[in-house]
Amino acid sequence: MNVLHTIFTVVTTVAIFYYLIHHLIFGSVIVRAAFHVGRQQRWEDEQAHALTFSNPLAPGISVLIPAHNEEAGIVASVTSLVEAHYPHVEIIVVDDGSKDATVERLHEAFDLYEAELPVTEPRVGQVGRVLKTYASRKAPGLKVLSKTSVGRRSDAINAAFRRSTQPLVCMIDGDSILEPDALLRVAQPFVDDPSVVAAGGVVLPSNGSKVERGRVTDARVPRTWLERTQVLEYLRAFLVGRSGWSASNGLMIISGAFGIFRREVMAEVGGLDEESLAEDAELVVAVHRAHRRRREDYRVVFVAEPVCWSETPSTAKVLARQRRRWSHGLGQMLSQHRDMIGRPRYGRLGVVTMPYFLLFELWGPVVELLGLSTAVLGVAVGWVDPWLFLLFVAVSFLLSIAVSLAALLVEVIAFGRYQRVSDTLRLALAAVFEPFWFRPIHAIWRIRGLVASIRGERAVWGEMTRKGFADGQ
Amino acid sequence: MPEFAATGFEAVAAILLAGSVVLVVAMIVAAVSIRAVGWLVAASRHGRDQWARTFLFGVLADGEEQAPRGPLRQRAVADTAMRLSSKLRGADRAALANWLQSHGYRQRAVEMMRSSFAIRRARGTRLFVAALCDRETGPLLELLEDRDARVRAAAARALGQCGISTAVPFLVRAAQSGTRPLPVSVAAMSIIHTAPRSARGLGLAWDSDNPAIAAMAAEVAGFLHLTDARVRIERLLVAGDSPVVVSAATALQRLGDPRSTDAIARSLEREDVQPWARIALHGIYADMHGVRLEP
Amino acid sequence: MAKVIVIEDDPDISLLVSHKLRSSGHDVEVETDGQAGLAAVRSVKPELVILDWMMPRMNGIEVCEAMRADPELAEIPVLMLTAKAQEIDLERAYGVGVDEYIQKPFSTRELVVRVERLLSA
Repeated sequence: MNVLHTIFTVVTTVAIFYYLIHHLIFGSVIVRAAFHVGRQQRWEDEQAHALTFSNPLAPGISVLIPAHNEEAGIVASVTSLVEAHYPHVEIIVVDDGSKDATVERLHEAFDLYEAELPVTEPRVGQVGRVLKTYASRKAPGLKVLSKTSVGRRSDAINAAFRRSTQPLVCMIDGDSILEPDALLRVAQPFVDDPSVVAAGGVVLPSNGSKVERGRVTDARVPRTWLERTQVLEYLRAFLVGRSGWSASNGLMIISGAFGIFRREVMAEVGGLDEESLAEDAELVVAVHRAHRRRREDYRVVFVAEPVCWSETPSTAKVLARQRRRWSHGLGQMLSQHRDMIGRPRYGRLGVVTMPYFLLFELWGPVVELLGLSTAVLGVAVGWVDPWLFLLFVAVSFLLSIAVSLAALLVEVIAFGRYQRVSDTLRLALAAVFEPFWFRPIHAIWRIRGLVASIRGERAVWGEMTRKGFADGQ
Repeated sequence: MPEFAATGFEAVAAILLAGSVVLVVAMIVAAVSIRAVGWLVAASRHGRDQWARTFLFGVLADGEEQAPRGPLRQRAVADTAMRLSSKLRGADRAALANWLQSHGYRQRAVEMMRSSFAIRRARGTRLFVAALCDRETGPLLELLEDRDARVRAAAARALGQCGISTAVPFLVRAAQSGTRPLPVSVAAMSIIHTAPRSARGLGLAWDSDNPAIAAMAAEVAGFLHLTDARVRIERLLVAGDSPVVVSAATALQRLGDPRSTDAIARSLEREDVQPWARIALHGIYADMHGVRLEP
Repeated sequence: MAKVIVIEDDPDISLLVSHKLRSSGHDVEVETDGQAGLAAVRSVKPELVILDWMMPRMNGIEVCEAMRADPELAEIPVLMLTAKAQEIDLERAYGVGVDEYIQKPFSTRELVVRVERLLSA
């Protein structure tokens, strides 16, 4: 009995400290983020003015779009790029073994014809076989490449990267819509500071918003609580998480749905890792690693203003698969680069960010579940006062609600993208409900991913069925 | 049972719980009310903007309007004038500048440019440009060495917008500065906007230690068709690294002088040029020569 | 006095242009996006259209193409007022049947002169 009691006391104490440290770190990240966004935001007017001062010499951008069965969204996505306010944009769409009408839709919209697309970057490999390449009569910068799929997004991007010709490379998903000035804004850090090697912008769910001809004309909060909770998650991850990490140059993830890299840097690390499930994070870590090794000055930045709207899963089944994959990928990536964790040589990324992700993102749900079940056990046996337990649960729920609300506040104060007061209220309510239903399910999905990564399962891509952007919906 | 429940525990627990409940409720109220207030503020600003626009259209028509009273309205006029001035040219811009000058906005701009807040200095440069027509640029040149990079960029943009080609050597020098550099691309676009007629002002750039500056000079010269830069650009084809070589070749393509084709052909013989650069060079060579070399 | 439709999403410019044209005696209607603009052109059948290039919903080039494809609107002169400044843009605009091309930043005097010329042609 005594041994059990000791184990129990140790586990609960560890869990309490774990919570405390987690909230402490996240709290400091929030403060950093608030300052960072605040500082950027005050310059917003000047920034907007600078953008209209057009620069014909701005570095060209190659936008790489992997598309696997994206007939629903691909035309809107490409239109948003063709219409983007940027002097030189090259768009390379990779039709990665689509079984639907992805290429046909592009044919109809952009008048494609078969054209040669020479390889410019032999340093990056490609597995799938190229079937056909096209250029467009209607949109001069658009190129389309059809290839056989090997079931991986990374291979599609690498295939496009091998044929890109511009000094900056941007990756977005086949269902994403960029704001018209998003490329200008996300390219600005590269223009201002030669040591910037990678930059990421904000990704927000497009579900529920009104999309017309490749532009989000009315940003609205989606209808279901599952999707609303995801909006909140994205706000938390981007506005708070990433701007906080970026302020200390410890940014580890640049979303695959909207990231931009110097071409040289990406070629040097060999493009995306074909084996990885978290290929975006893997790429950023590889870039960090390469520069730290050479002790070169470099910066990976996050820009909070430009938005890429992307469709997120609307059913629990698809979401479960996505989250399991994310967790799996994170585990895979961290174990691949485990030699960097805790090493001062790799700067804040090695000492703070990676350990944080390992302890709190990857293993978080396990510790949470373990702590919770031990406490429940303690209450059942009578070692813990039920009131104490309830108090602890209440406070931890309230704190996590407060974190979500902090992210919402940053969005409301600095940007106000969702203009309706009712939408703000809906997001606030989603924040209040989240710990009661979404958090436990999410924890289970993540644990499944963690298990998969520990067992070293080979990664497979999940299919996602998309609704696409219904015009005027 | 562990001895958590010591004396005073209940009080601490109550405070903790009440505190976090209050925090959450306050944040919800804050988010919703800030959104609502934001909407009101935007509406009133929109109204003032509308008023300032009509006011300045009146100024453009007859130039006779009195300066508005009240700090909010004055500010709205200054903001709108900055925006309008960058969208206008010719007689309209001159009329706007004259009115701003004769109603004290020029002085206001200079004061803003000496402010201790970086953002105010940057905004000052824009108001200064809007009120500028006698081409006195001293205060802008000073701000090229400002301690904040964004202010330096704003000053450079302002010089570009004034179209003063005598500022080109200053812009090149600011880009080369070791301690307080002006971003090269900002220098480039400002130089393009000043539209110099010869490459003389770029003098310092060709022999710069920073390859980005030499590449910038080539791009600018190509874009502006500064034919007197051709020989300097051709030299970059043999000396520079891959990005510089491509910039130089692109510039020569724009200049379109047939004498440059030999220099481009020689750069194709270089072993150290990277494959992507080689493809670009082939394309340019073919374009200038009407010959297709297979890579 | 002529009926003119201005299709432009920047209020600074659309208001300035309509202010100028109204004071030279024209009847001006402003639309802020391409789709609404085209609809207004269809219902009003103005004597001149002033078009921006980059606009939400439908860009200026598409509006002009749609007008030229419609026999009832094909003859209405179009003046394009845009920040796009490269040669290729100019080619594209004249290619779809734009009659005049003015670059931003612009001069309202020049605009008025060109408008009068188009209207009297």
